[in-house]
Amino acid sequence: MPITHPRLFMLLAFTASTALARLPDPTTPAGYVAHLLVNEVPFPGERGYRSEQDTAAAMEQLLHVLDRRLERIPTPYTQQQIAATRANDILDIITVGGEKGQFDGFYRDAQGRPAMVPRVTERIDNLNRIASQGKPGTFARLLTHAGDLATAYLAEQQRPSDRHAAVSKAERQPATGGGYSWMTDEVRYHPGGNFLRIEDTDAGSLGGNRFFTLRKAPR
Amino acid sequence: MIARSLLLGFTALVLATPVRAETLGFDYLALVMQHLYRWHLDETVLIQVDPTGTLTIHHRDTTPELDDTDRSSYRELLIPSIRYRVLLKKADYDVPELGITITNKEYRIIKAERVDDWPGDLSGFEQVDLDAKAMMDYLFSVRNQRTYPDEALIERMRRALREHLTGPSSPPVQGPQTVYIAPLSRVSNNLWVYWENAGRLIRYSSDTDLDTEAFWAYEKLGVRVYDLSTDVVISFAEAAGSNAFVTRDWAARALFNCVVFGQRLIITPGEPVAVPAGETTP
Repeated sequence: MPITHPRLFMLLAFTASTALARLPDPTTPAGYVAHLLVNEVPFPGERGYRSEQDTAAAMEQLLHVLDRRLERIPTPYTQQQIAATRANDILDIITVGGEKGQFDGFYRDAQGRPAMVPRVTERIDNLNRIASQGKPGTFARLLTHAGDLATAYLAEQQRPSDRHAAVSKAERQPATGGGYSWMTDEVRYHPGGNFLRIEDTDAGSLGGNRFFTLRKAPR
Repeated sequence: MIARSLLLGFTALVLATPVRAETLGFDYLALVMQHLYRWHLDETVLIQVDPTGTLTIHHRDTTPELDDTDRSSYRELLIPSIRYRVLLKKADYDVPELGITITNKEYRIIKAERVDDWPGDLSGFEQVDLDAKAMMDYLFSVRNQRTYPDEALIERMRRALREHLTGPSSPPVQGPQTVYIAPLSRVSNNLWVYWENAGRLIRYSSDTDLDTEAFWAYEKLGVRVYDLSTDVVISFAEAAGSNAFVTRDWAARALFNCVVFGQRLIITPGEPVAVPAGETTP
């Protein structure tokens, strides 16, 4: 039967879209952060996927990197040296450098609004679509986890436990501890500068990403 | 033909048999070496192999904690003479949301890297000793070998590429577009494409095998595009901390494998699929 009542149609449309949307609205700070967390980790079937727990842990450590670049700069570094900006807003940490900046594909548009390149939104739309098929499973739980992490962090400064906080050595050199960067987990990807690769034994490889801490004594 | 007979004869050149040789057969190890040769090794690496000696490969099970219904297995493979570490995965798990099972016929390379820190104790590893000269001869003989997707896979690629070329991530295009599909690797689920008109490298990747239905359920998820006009640096030190770039050395290798070894296709977005005779010759 066709839906003829406009209010009923609107209600159904709203219900359908909220069923699909497991991430906060990307135009909100929590939604934007959550979209970055999802964009950077593998889901089942994708290259680099190991387990739900591994992908969830990767999201948590990604959030720590953002937080450390924003609020936990170790002495004697400056925020400019590590995050390529001076900022007190997590959105500025993410979007610094434009489309090819610190976090590929996340930038501010001409009006200064946080934006994402189409490939990011395409993938997340696909993940949302898959998550909505059948009984909620791994896809839905991981999307929800990203949203919960970002929301709790931005609303209440809640940080998950940090697997990299106690790292004291990396690449055989004294390290500051804590993750300050991540890249695809292949040796050819290294952020350079004073970043040091966190070893597997210190949970340096999570969700297809390699995390990097900092040299204790900068070069 | 020579390459095939060399590969099939490789088993006879093994000097010692590991306890679980059936886990990683010798023909399989030759395919891994061939993949490394094409996608990873450079002139500084193979020179370290003593052609009169033994090429030893160590391997062990490294399956991590997996999801409850995941039956996948992982192996780590160490090749001390070239200082390479290769991580392998044989996927076997269900994705109920899509009603598919992610599987690999054999172990697939999920990571290969040159390492400086080498484990001192290799007692937990199984060991295979291969004749180094035979391996070098084999690698030399297959250096130009090209395995292309079959007709069905090419057809799917055409459809996927046609959709990608006109998708929101792509620049506006007009008229026929030239793409090169790199030869397939039997031990990797990466498929590389160079889109000449746009100067872009496209990587299709998945946990599942390329020739399965499951791969195409993920085709839109596992796409990574590198714009060679903006995404290439000599060294990551140029943009410390950024994850947006690839190195020129890496891009050059990918381009070589696509353009020199690849299969050339002409795709016209918006037109029905047609495969003119001879068009797919490299």
